[in-house]
Amino acid sequence: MISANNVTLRFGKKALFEDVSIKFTEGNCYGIIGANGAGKSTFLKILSGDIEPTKGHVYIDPKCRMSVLRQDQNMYDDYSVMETVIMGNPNAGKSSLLNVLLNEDRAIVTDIPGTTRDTLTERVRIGDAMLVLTDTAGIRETTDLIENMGISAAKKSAQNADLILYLMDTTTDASIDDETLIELLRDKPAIFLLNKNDLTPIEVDDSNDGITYDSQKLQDFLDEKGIKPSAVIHTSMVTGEGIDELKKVINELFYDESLMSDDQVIITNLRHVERLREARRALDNVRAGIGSGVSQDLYCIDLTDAYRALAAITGAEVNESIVNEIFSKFCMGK
Amino acid sequence: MNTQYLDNHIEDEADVCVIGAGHAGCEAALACARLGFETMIFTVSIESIALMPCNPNIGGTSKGHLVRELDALGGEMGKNIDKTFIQSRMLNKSKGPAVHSLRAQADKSEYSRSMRKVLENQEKLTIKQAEVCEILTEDLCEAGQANDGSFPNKKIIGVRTNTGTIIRCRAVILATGTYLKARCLCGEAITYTGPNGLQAANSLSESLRNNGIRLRRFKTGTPARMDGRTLDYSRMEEQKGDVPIIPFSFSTDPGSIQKEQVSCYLTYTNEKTHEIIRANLDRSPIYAGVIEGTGPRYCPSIEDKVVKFADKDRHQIFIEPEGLYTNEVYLSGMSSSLPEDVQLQMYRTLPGLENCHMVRNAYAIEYDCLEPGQLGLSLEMRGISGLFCAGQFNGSSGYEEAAAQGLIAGINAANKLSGREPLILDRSEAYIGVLIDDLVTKENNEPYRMMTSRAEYRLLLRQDNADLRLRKKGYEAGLVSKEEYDHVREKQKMINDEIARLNGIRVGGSAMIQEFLEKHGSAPLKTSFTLAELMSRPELDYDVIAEIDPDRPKLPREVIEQVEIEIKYQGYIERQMSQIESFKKNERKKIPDEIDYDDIGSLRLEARQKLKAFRPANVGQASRISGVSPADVAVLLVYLK
Repeated sequence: MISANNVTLRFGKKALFEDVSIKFTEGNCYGIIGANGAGKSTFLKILSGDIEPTKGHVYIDPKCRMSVLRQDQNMYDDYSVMETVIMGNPNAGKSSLLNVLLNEDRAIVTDIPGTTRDTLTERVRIGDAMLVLTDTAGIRETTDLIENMGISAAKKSAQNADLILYLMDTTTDASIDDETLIELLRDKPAIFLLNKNDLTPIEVDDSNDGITYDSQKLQDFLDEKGIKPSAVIHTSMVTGEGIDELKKVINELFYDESLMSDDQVIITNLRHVERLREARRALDNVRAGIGSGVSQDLYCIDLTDAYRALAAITGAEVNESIVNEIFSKFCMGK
Repeated sequence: MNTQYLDNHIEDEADVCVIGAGHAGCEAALACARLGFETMIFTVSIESIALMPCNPNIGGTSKGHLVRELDALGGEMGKNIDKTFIQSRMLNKSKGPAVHSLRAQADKSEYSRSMRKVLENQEKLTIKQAEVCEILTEDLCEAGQANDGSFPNKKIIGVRTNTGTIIRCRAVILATGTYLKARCLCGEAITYTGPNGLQAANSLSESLRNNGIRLRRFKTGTPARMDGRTLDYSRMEEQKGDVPIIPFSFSTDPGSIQKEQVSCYLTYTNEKTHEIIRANLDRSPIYAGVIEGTGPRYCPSIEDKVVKFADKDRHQIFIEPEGLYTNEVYLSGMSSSLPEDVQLQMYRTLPGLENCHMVRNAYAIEYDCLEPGQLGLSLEMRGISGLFCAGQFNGSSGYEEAAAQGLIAGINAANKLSGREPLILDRSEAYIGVLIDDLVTKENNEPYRMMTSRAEYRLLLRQDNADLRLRKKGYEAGLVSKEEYDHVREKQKMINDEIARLNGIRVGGSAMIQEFLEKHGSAPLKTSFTLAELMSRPELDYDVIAEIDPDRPKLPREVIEQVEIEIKYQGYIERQMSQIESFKKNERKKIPDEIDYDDIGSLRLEARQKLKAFRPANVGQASRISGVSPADVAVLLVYLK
């Protein structure tokens, strides 16, 4: 009924599953058991189609329909993940990009430059990456007060960003002049998108100063300023060209540890959240104990509790309650 | 007794034979005899009954806990040291109650003679000076039937001594200590003797191996003994005993043991000592590769210490008297197997020892002992029904560790003969539980010494509550009298009542109370508090609160101590108890004896091998075996359902 064929899943360089083939047949009730961190939830997400395997595929009998009962996604709301800011010159297609990534028309798109005054922030899953996407006002010289406020806001979000998606309109001849912006692009991981590929770009002409319409000119500019882009992609929001490649690059960056700032943590599992809360409570007790001057062998008790809670995440401990839960929720056939 | 004269040798009968009369052997033999079984104890030398071949003291950190526990269960060591000590100190008094440890220096000769007297006058116990050369066994399986060690394939039927005498018995307890194929090394000089030049036992190892028992070789060492008249104590720091003296045994009346005590002295090694050692390492049997056995990490020879802790510029050395009957003193912390000439040079570099005379040289001793993974938690050999093992023979080090095992082995041999379940203490019930579980479940590559860090539930396993924890088990085992048990139940009731009373009395912020609190540097009350809540403040305790608790009953000090600990550490005690609950869940999940690990599909290879070798009794024990991962435990849990 459902079968996984040669499924491989890699995160960056690390493989969680390698070449897994398994068939689940009709009339049976299956339980997936393993130690913490082994990959059970992830495997189920591959089966349900939430995650694409790196290789291989999942086959479902065409006559069948799949129902999936997920873990509570709302648990993620308290935890920030990859802060991503969409920037670029006015009318480059930033808001369109946001809408495309969100699969809905969230941002107001017109062809009038300067439409976006405010920053718009949305949470979105791209593959396995959890992004907080912020659309911003296009950067340009302007005397419009409100637009300037929007531009300041844009630069401010970029300061806190983990990733910058910089869009360029290939039908214009513009450049990146703002020094603050250039510095940000130097410091942060940035993906440059040469957008509006569905339209004819303007002619390459050495008399033009700009960089936005030509990848070679862009590259020269980046080299000159010492900016190392994570990728340069030709895109079109209208045809969808380049979007898949963009998503792929974002996922790769997500699993590349150098992208994540030190205080970013990804929680993938409801059970883990509980354990982490337990560990924090125990550590608070330790601190209280040390503060009131109790002896070591006393606050060690709380330290042990904290250790056990964390060990339950990494899989260093097993207790019977997990097995009982499994048996109470599934019928185990022969 | 049923003595027969056959074929020029004697044949006789007993219920239990105990091989070895050291600390383990004595406890085992006394337990069996007291539980009503005809017991014969063998020793190569009657003068060395309960001999202390190394340090002249009982107790210390964690070891004191073991002595209290075995005393609560009805063992003899605590009573014996209370009769024969010459100095007593409570260690770690400045730290929390979980690590308070009692330690007493013994008069070695008195200790041994006193224990010998107890043995000689115990009903149903006979002593025989002889070397046991063979254990006699009978096969249980049909010939040709395959056995993978999951159930015993032999049973004990007796022992034979070097003179040919055969004693038929139903259980044997091996407590041979450091005597099997022993040899002593002092530099290049090797003697094939047991400790102190006593005769080694050279034949038994072969018989054990012939019965399928796996042995290995360990080493341990002892320092030199000096003539106390040749030491200058003015150059050392004196350490006096405690006043008042606290007894080890719960049966000893504290008033009866207050007496004059001797002092110990503290001195240090220095750079000169270390130079001499380093210059002569090639003459040390360990470094010259002559010693085969593995020595203990926690009682290292001085040469070990100098090499491993090269950055320390001095090491503590305690001078301890060996007894009132002699001038000999023991140098604690300075055991060695270096040659005699190097020893003398190095000892003479210590302040106060410049003119010392070495009465006995330091030496290392090597001996055959058991791989204890072959034992169950009852200390019975899995492959041979009726054969129990205890003491240094199991790879432990220390008199207290040996005595604790001896007591458990003795109780369980008796239980087996009367068809009762064995007494098994788990890690949350006693240090003895930790000791046996560690020995039998973990792979120890060096002699095992008990330490407080080995126990997970130290706050509850205190030496001051050993009686509350274990008297009941001692009574059920048959070694604790009804009076002693009733006394403990009475004590527990008084404790519970007093705690309830303190929790039931509320005081408010009256002028008198606030004044009292201020006098003791304590925060004033804004709402009402119970006396118990006040007592848990660090600056207040039971005695201090007396002022605002005029109607309190008069209670013995031992009850007050427990009340105070329980109230002050209530939060922590509760948290530790819930940790114990989790622990016990897996301990209660028993694994059937006949389980076939080959039948369980998804075990990893290493886990399967280890489970087959150690045959754990429950899932908790299985999870502690090295090589068995949490994933394997999960597989096991599913299989058992």
